[in-house]
Amino acid sequence: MKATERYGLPFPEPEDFGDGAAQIAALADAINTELQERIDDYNTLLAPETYIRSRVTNLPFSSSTQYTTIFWDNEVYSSNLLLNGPSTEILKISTPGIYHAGMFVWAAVIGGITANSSRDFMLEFTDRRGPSLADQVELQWEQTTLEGANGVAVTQYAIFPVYTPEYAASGLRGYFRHQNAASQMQIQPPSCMWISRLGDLAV
Amino acid sequence: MPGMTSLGLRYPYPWETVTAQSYQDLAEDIDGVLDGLDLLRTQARVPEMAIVQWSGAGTAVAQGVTTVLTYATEVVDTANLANLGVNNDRLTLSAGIWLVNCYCSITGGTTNTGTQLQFHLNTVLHSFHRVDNSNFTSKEINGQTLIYVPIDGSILQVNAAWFGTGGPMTWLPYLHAWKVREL
Repeated sequence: MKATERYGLPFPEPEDFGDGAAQIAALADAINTELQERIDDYNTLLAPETYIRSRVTNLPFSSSTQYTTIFWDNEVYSSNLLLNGPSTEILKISTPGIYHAGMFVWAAVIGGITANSSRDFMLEFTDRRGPSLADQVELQWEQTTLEGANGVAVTQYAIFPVYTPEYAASGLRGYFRHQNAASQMQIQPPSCMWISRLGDLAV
Repeated sequence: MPGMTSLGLRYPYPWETVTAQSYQDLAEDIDGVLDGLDLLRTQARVPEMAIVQWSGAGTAVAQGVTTVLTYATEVVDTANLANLGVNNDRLTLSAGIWLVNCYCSITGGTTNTGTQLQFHLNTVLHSFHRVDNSNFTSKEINGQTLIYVPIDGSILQVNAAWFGTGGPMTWLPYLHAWKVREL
């Protein structure tokens, strides 16, 4: 039996006639393999890896010039088994690709308000591209707003490449800091953070 | 009784006689699998999504009154998410993960100390974007979020509010919802 060059679909040569059942079975198997590969590709495309976490309790923050990590105490949705397990701090993924990520953070004062004090939010993706710290790339997106009398809430959004998510350090974090000296602030429900895959890095 | 591949492609066993029917069975089974593949391709090429926007005067929002924004024009709608003739304040989403964005141009008012745009799913607050301490009489606000929608027929609405003096302010919304994946 010979086979087509592109996809390896088998076909009989003149001397092969007489074994038709085996030839049809081989062709059916080869076609099945090719079709299954395409079905799997479309199913992957239609079900991109996605992970969402949120706050279901208040999380207090003292006034500081330094960013502090936002911990997420609730898993809203996870599309797959994460390579490094779920985390309250880091949203991890398992497959290289182009991703979009974002967060919604609702920050409110617990007591007094320091007029015109700043509130800063940062989304950071740590992409460890090799075994050492020197291989680590940190992509950051910041947003700043000032306090009035009505509290602060932001939504943020970013698109970025991810090369080696298998390293434990790789993942998405959210940060917050504020200059409200008059009182602590708290991140309130239903604040949330997400990451979702858009596609491959290359053809 | 013929053999069958994992996708249901029938083929004769070695002890069976190959007939015209053997070829017809295989061809028809391939047809059936290709139908399913075409469906997946269509879903990938044309995702469930809709964009609706204001028309004419937009939505009037009084100071301190949270108001559901309304839309008059379907820019695009691939999955019948909008039915503005019946309900002009919503998109109806199927179960899945949805990326949602709303941009609003805002005019009017005398002073303004805060502006916010809220995403609601089935009338429950999901997330919002708030700009504070910004005096203005003409401004834009933009918010986006990823929403977990557990059941078919869920209603997405965007509420607007502002704080200050004067008004009402006019909100001109542009709302986009795109289904990222099934659950």
